[in-house]
Amino acid sequence: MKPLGLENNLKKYRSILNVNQQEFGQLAGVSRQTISLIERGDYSPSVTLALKIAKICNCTVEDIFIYKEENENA
Amino acid sequence: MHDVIKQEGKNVKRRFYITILISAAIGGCFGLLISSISLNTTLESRNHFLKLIDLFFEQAIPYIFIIFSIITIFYVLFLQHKVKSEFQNLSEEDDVKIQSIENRVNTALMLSNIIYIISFMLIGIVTSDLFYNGNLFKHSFLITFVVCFLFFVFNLIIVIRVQKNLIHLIKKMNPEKKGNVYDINFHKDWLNSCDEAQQLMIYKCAYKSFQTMGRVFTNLMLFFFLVSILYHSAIFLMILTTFFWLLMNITYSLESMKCKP
Repeated sequence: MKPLGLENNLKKYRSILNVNQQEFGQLAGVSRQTISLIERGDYSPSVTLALKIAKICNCTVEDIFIYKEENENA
Repeated sequence: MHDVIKQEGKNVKRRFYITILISAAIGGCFGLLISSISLNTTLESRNHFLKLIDLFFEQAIPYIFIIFSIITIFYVLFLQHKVKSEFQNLSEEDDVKIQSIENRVNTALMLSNIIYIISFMLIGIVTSDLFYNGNLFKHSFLITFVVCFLFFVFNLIIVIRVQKNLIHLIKKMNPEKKGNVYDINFHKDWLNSCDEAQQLMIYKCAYKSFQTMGRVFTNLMLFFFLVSILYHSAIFLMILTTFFWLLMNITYSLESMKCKP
């Protein structure tokens, strides 16, 4: 079940950093699976993790995570 | 807003009543069928049918399970070998490949659990047969028991070794994971080493199992209720189902009460 309305650019930012999911997970203090789940849109991270990810990518949370209203997706 | 909620409530209620009516009609039909069988057959003929089922369990089931277990064990060993060699040849950048390895590992773990459970059932049936009706002194039953017992021990050794190897591989792929399969606290250590997303996935799976088992218990209860019309001994199965159903619900409720602030 995909979380409603949350899209992300994590894969793009990760490729800019030139790290794989395992390495990015280590930087963020989470597992490779969590990074994979976030990239696939299967998991919405906690506020703490979202802030940590933004800090690693050197950008704001809104640059990586985009919230779209339900009618915006349609 | 209030009207929308009211309308939604009405729709849900309508669906609920329709489902109840359909279920009652299907249950009624089965009940009618079973009771007409009960009225039109003698207890002897029904017991004869029961004996045929018994014979099937006695003679065929052990061998069906043995063949099934052998095929499954070979498949699990093949999967284990495949994931090991795939992991050795894995390049660091290959996130997609690692995902497919993990899927194979999960399949192998699931199959090894199936073999483990079936092995216990197999040894249970064979042991019960051995001590039934003086079979202990019949050569054919003794041979079947010895073969199945050896197979049971072999299965357990293989399953535990495969699970140990697969967990070791998962730990290699995910160094943050903790726990030893031989340790009694393995599940606790494993859960504690999972991060927020992994824990959420575990809880989702557990909830899905809870939902599935709820449906299974409802249907099992209805089935045994119908069977109890034909065989009085099915009451024992109903009591057993009730016990496990209650156990599951009470455990869930107590745990949810603990989780509330």
